[in-house]
Amino acid sequence: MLNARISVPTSAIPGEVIEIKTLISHPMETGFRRGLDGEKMPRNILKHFQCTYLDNVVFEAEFFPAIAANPYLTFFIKATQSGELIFTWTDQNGKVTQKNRSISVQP
Amino acid sequence: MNTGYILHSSCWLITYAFILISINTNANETAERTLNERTLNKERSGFYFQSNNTQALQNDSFANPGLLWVDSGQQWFSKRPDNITPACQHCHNQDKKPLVGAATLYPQYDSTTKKLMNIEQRINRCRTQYQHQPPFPYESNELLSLTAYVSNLSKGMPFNVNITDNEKPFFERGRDFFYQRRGQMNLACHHCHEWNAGKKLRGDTLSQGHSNGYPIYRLEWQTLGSLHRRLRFCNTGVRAETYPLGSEEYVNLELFLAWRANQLLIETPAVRR
Amino acid sequence: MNSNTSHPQIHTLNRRHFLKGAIAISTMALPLFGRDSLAASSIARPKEIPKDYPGPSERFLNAITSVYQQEPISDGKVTLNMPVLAENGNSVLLSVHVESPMNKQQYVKRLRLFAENNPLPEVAAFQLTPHSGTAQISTRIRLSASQIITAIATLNDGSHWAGSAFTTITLPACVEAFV
Repeated sequence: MLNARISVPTSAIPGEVIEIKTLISHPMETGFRRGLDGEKMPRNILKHFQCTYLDNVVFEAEFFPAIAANPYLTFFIKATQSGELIFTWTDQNGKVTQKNRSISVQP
Repeated sequence: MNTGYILHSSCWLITYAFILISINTNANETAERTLNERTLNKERSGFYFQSNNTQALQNDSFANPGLLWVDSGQQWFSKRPDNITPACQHCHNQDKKPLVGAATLYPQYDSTTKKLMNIEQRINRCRTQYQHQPPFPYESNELLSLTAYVSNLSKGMPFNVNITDNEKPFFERGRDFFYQRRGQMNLACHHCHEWNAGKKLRGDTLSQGHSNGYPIYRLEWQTLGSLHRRLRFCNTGVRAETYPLGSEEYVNLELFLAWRANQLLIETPAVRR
Repeated sequence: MNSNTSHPQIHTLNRRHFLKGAIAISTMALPLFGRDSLAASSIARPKEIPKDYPGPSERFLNAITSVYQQEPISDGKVTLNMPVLAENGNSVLLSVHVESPMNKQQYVKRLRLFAENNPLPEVAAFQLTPHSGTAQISTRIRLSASQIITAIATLNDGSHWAGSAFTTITLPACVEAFV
């Protein structure tokens, strides 16, 4: 499980567009760099990110090696009702890191 | 060794050498003047020599990537290594032996070993002596995280190392290291970081070489790194011998640097280019 | 390797080699740009780019062709914010905003980022939904050289819209010295 920072407002009013921020610890090794032995260091990257809100996939991202180490990503969602947001990162080997946050949506 | 790498490094270092030679000559001519100016000028954190974007990243209380290590350091701090061993926070909490401000006092003389000890070594001392666990390797994620967490507890507090009779011999060795010319380029730390601070070295602006933000998140490293890693990088830059991470030479230098930075506020985790 | 005289020679050679390469790429790239891909030829380019800029890589043109085939890509709706100057190519802040309603009738479906002279021009691809509220993202990317970065949005009606920016890197990424 990777170490991640997630910022979600704790509360919102219905219909409010809220900003979600994510930061996760990962080297995002490109596969283009060479180590001290002169050999290329194998690629090791996070490949996919997904955010679900009330069981619907609301945002997805595919990462390539040009995403900087310790990927930072912000996006928006429209708050409709109280519920859970699930954040899932998947690396190139299918290894998954999942975190969740709750949001309270009230008029 | 890869030929391309050597070729590339050589070109890089030649450019580097030319620039260094030119600033060095310049430095000799104006040594008196710049030294005087420096004493008159304020000590400035490395933060001052970064671009607006890098400064903004450091100041971003969410996006500063160094905070990932602070977070995981906090987890290590409260985690018991096994069922019978207490966690760090068992001894260090708000009520007893709080670590707020601790980082401002290191490196410090250790009466048991009669040696100078920095925060990394102090953490490992706790780990071996009180937790009976193997020490974390220098520059390991665990040690970097704990160091970042402990140092971050002193964020905003000024460096405050004390040079008593105990620290004095180590301090003097550290000071001598700082002013000793070394390597093929025959440059001492102070040639760049005192005489030429604020001037350009390739795409870089030379800083005053202060240590108040460590461990730092360096964009070039793409990860968090210790002061000793940075010192090795500096030594390599002037084609000098590097010393091991955690070596006496670097801990002595670390004390001199902390003393030099005594009025500067701790910024951990700082972001540098 | 360690004699002092050999170093300047290596330096000159490399520089010459680099200049030749740059000229070759710039003369090659322009015809390719219009010939191979309608999509690529219609992409918006930033107004201010250095005179010696080599132009887009073939890898980028191929990537555009394989994603968008021959479909037109219009200029507009997409605002790409990048620093004019970045002091390290390892981590450059990028933000994109697409001007579009975000409801079931009309929304931004996909957003792709390209750095045309990176070894791999694809940077990221995002899938948005009407739940996104607004089509805006920000991230930090790697640039291996000063270059044009392009963001292309695809709306739910199938239309493509592009915005671009030029960022100068003062210290390129990937020269990390291992110590």
